[in-house]
Amino acid sequence: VGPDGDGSNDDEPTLAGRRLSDLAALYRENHEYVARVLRHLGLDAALVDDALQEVFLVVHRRLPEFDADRSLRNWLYGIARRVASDFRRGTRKGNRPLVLLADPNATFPGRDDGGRMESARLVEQFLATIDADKRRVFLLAEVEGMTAPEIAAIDGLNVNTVYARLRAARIAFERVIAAAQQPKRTPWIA
Amino acid sequence: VDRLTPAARDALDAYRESLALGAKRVDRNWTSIESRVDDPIVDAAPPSTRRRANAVAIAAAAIAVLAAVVALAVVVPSVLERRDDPPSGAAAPYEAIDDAPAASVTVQPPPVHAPPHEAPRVVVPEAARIERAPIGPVTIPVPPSPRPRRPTTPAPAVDPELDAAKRLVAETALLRRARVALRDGDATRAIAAADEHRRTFADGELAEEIAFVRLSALCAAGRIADGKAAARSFATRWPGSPLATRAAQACADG
Repeated sequence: VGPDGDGSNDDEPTLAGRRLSDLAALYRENHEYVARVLRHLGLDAALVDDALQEVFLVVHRRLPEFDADRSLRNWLYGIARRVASDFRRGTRKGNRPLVLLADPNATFPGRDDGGRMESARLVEQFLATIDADKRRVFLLAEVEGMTAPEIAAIDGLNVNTVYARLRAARIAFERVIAAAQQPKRTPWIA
Repeated sequence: VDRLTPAARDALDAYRESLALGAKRVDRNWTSIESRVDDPIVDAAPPSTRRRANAVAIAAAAIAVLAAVVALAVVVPSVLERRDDPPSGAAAPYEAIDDAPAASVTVQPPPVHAPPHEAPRVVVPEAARIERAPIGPVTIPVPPSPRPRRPTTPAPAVDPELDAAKRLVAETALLRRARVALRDGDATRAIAAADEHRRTFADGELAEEIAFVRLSALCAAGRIADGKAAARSFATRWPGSPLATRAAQACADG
């Protein structure tokens, strides 16, 4: 116990520094995941950076409480969900609308596109057509690589429900892909 | 369907790529997180500043209570006094005007208690109690009056006689205003808040933090020369500051 009687001592800056370096490591390894999750949760692309910062500030505050037995990604997802909800309610940056589709003007800067932007758009269009429950399961499984039990733990679902939603979403997605691969018919003129 | 076809997989990979932040955004976000972690207001701040933030919170609570008592001490006697005056249309003493229609607000004389360890204070009945402790004037809409209002003494923004706790609360409010403005991209407002702090408190307790916000705002506003000059001044005045490195780099992008 330090001189103030509150547990403080000369080592405290070191502890604070370690927390910051822990946060830096977490950020380095998970920033893309958190950013994607925020988008999956319907945040406008313009709000993702602010929300991402907010998520990691919450992480920093709550890091000492984190149970190492828990899935880190699930924990981050939970924080991101609350932050996204907060942002969607317009408590930060004014009242901005919920956006389910990506920015139509989004591009892949500095790369030879090779049809990948079109593919990404196709996915976005598909995501906008399926219901929110299936979309969430589909994204967590197929984009984030989570297992069904992990997804079930996030949403408090039965694992079979997760499998059922995932299966339905996959079937729908394959239909969209197959339709996109059909050669475009040229009008037949007699 | 247990697995996606390669074409579907490829489309999802493209989608995933499309959501990538890019190195610049990643770095910018981390810089912002780091700077906000240092914020003495958030409870995530390092312990040295956290203790100060705790003191600020305690002081804020004390000031809120004090402000409520002072406000009631001013408002209630005035209202009671005005019960014997000609009718007034004011809902509060500072809204009082002569010969206005009678007010609908009536306040019963409050009982006065003298707690054993404190100076006598006024205890106001529930009906007259102000829900939120006002720090500053409370505006209550009243009908416009053709008559000029009675001259009132404007409350100074910061009384030079304020004790250290009150000063800290006022300083914290200005720092928060500056930081929020800067975070929201309003560099001009951030600079104005920082300048107000400098005018009011000069060598205040939070001068170092506010100076950092100010120089960051100068850089953000495109006033690179001013920002760099402020950064040099910062380094001279607080050479050992944990903010010194970021202060020196604040205008680096400019």
